[in-house]
Amino acid sequence: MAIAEISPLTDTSLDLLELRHRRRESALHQLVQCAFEHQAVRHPELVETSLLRRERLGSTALGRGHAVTGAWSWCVHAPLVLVGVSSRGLDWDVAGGHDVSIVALVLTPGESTEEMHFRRLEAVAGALRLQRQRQRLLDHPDVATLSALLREVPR
Amino acid sequence: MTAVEGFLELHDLDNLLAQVGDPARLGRWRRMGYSLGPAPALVKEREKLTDRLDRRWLNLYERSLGRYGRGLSAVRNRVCLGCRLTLPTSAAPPPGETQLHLCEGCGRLLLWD
Repeated sequence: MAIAEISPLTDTSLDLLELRHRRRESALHQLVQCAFEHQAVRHPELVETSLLRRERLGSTALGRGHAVTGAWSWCVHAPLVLVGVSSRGLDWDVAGGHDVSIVALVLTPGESTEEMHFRRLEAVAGALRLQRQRQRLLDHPDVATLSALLREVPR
Repeated sequence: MTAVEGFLELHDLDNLLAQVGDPARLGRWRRMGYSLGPAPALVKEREKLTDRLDRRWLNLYERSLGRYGRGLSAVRNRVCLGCRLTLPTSAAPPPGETQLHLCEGCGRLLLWD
């Protein structure tokens, strides 16, 4: 009798990274470059411009300590959720001056509907809303924890 | 910046402006916990961007934007992802060329993969 060890497939639509800088613009740049390396976006500079413009419509920080931003664009090839964790905290234009320690970038291809992009954003924002969920991710910053946390996000 | 990149940027900017211009979308953002305000600076940026784009293509883009809500569409396997029309082989640009094209079915500007 042969025994095979089956390991779960890696979810390529999610990834986690450590954010190196303190500024919002630098963090967005790092996230977009990571998405480009995943071959999820073309014209990364346009995606970055779009994300910076989105920040000018109103900060994407949600409550204390986290921000959820995203783009629904023809520049996006494949759906991807990137979560950046900053141990030093990010200066993210939050009311009250709190630093942001978790940033999620939700990328949805232009061929998907806008409704799908909203549903993906709502799912990510909902998953990160509770402090204990965010703390879980800060305590165990790995893709397995992230996958468990974001399992409800539509692909 | 190429013409294709210019229209891609314009398309993304129009998407953002649509978020604050439509009460239903704005309400949805607010329910998620975001606070979005008016964007006069983005409107000015749009004007600056459109000044740099070819007038003829811009008119076609704006006509499709008004009709469908999106003025740009991608092509995958010769199919326009806006109207699902299979485009003739002759409509495809030569490999490596990045030029603007128009969908014969819906009139959207096409972004060939």
